[in-house]
Amino acid sequence: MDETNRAARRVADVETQVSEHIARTGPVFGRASSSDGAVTVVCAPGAPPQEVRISPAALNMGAAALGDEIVRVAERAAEDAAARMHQSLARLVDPATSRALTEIGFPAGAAEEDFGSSYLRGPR
Amino acid sequence: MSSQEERIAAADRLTGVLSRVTGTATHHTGLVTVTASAVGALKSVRLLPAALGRGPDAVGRMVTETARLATDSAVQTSYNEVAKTLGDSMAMAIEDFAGPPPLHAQGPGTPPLPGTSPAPGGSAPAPPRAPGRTAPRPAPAHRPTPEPPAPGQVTRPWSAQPPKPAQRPRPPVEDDDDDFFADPFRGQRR
Repeated sequence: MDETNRAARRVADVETQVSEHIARTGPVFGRASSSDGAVTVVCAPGAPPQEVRISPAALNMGAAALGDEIVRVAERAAEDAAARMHQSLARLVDPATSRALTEIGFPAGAAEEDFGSSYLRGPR
Repeated sequence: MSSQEERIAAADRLTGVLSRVTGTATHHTGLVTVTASAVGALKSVRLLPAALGRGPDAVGRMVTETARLATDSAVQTSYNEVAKTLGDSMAMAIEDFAGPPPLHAQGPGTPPLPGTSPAPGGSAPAPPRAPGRTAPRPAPAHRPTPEPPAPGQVTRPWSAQPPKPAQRPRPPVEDDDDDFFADPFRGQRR
């Protein structure tokens, strides 16, 4: 078996492991909220916000301030999603692949602390 | 450059393009305008004061829908940028492993996401860009499509780009040996 075949087989093995892992744990999402709970954003790694929740009180912030707050919270939600995906896959892939995840924009980082397990289910 | 080297260069360039290019979309009510990168990172969210009168749930929904369309626009522009520099064949290779661009996946007859529409050609609020960077081009969704494809026909959005200008006409080739030896480079001078 030459080097190319070995590499292709390794890629296929990792792909299978990741697919099985995702099927077992469910999709990965990140979430972040502003400190007063005015804005909450949920998003998948590398994707736009899937849900933007705004409290009635947040409307008192004014349009410009609310828009800026959504951008800030969405950025933290994206970082949270990236960190959760990295942590989820780091158990399955070798260190080189783990570093590659960081290089393409999914660093390990730190997941949001107030985020429960409802969006990232553990192994069943 | 070998095929392998070209693919590596394409992957490197794609990463840079994805982080740089943005797309902008405006809700059909005009109340929400979102600028986002190709990986869905929100760069700006502009709400008109009247949007707040729709209630918190409606505002959240409008932002979510408009952000999705802005991201699709940025992804489309990224494909165009890659195709422009590395050629259609490289863009097709990227499409093979990254999936079709959003406007291609929707198909020409597919209506846009309900309640949203891409911002008209380049009216995006200019996001902060690194010095020396060029402004991203508008997605081809804003360009007229030459003609609808036949059913089942695979089309590439970048194929709709305007044709390159015609090459400068070459002087007529003359096979007269005497003329050639008198001035061997006459056909190559401009």
